Amino acid sequence: MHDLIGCPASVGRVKLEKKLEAWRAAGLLTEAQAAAIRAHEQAHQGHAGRWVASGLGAVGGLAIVIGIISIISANWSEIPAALKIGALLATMIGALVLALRFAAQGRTLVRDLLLLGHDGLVLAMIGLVAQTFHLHGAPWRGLALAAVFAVVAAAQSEGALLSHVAIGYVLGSFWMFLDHADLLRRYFASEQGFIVLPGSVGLVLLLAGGRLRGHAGAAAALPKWGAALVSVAVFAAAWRWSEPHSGRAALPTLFALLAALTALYLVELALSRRRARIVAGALVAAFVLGGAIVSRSLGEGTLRVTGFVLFCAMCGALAMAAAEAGSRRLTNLFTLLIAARILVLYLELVRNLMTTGFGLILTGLVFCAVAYGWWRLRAVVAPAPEPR
Amino acid sequence: MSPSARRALLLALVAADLLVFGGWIGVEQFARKGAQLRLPVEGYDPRDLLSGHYVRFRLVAVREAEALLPPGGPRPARFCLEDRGGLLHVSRHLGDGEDCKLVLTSTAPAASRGVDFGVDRFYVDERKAASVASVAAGPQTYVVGAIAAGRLAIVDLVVNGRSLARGP
Repeated sequence: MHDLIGCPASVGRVKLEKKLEAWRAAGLLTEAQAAAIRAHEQAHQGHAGRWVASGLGAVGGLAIVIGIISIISANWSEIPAALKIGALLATMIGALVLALRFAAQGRTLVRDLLLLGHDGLVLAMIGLVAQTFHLHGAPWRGLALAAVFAVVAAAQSEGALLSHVAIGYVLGSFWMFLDHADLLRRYFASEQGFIVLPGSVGLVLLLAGGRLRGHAGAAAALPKWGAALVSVAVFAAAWRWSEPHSGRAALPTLFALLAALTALYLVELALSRRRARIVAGALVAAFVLGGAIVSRSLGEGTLRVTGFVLFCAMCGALAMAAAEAGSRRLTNLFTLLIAARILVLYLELVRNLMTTGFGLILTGLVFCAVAYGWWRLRAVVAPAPEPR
Repeated sequence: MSPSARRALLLALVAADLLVFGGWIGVEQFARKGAQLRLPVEGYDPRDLLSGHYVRFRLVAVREAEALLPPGGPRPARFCLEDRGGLLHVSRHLGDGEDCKLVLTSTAPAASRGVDFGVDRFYVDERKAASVASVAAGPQTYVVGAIAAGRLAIVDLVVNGRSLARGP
């Protein structure tokens, strides 16, 4: 378990050994096959000397690039405008030509990185033209133009990287447009604004992601952005559940849109026939929509307890849906959120560290008991695998 | 997507770069080819840090136009300019069908009561921006630009007789 220079084996090799042993014990691998895998991994392992050389080379290259940028910046005014614009345009075209070459060779990652650079250069070119001719206008237009280029670049890529950039540009230009039209101030003046606006946009992205199955990159990127925006709405709703607010909907049209999009998404979940996701979706909808219309007629205590129960039920359902989807990280995240919410509840209600401490110990014991019972129950219910 | 379709998209991006930016630059260059005119400026924030090294200013013509703008008048609002001592000032608001030798068109939205001629900033080297901060507006402080189709395309900003477009 030692490499050539006698240092302890890497974490990766330890994990590989554990897996090989487990597979061998389960009868999936013979000793000869395990030895062949070890030999193969050892032969393809990077040498320490090469790592140091490539690290130093990367630092050197980065220093050179930053130095060139610094020199150009220091003499920016002295450089003729035609040269600046010509050089930037040549760089943009050069990036695309190289992307074409690497695409022809099948090196899609390099192609995508070049197109990523091109996405940034488009923004730089828009800024440079505005600076050269002293133009001013609504900033959302520049970002929208860059978004068009980014969407075209993302359309030809199988990966999600360029799709993320395109979605970021589109959402950014939409945000700037709302700001320019003075709508952001109106939306966020209402307490519901933090729920209905991100919630609606998030649901649109989630629904769109479900429909763009023909483009793997967009299908991977859109749900992530959608989930992030819906999370913003969830946390805004959690705040509304914690204190009494006015029950009237200050943004009726947007709220109706949010409700309609929620219904559409729940129908889509129902059609997927995955029970855990359907339950999780319904609880998220109840939490967010309830948070948007929560009424002052609910007493403060009732409001807090209802919000707490809904939040924990929602996170529990999300944890189960994540476990069903095979994501351990998300499962841990949602269960951690439950723990955090319990702590917050104790601090809100009790406002006393001693009582909070005893309460948390009791709650922790209950959770451990539930977890143990769940584990034993699944061992009893799930059939044992048939021996080979 | 087939490799040929991907290749076509990348070639389309190359064409778009050349047409969009080449065309945009060409339009801006052409707009500045006309006679160089001078419009006085007043009161400005020397450096808007959020916009980088931009000198912000306000054309005197904006104040003059807002004073002449009739409520509920036709949009976009058009104004006639006249020369007074080498600098252009707004002389009257133009109604439908009216015209004059030099016209500036406001780009402010129809619902707005203000006037916007689309010119309120000038990019300047950081070394010059510090000296601009100490200068007050006056008869030797004006923008230089060309007017085409009612739009002012700025070429230079002269502060106290000193051009900011030329080198330090």
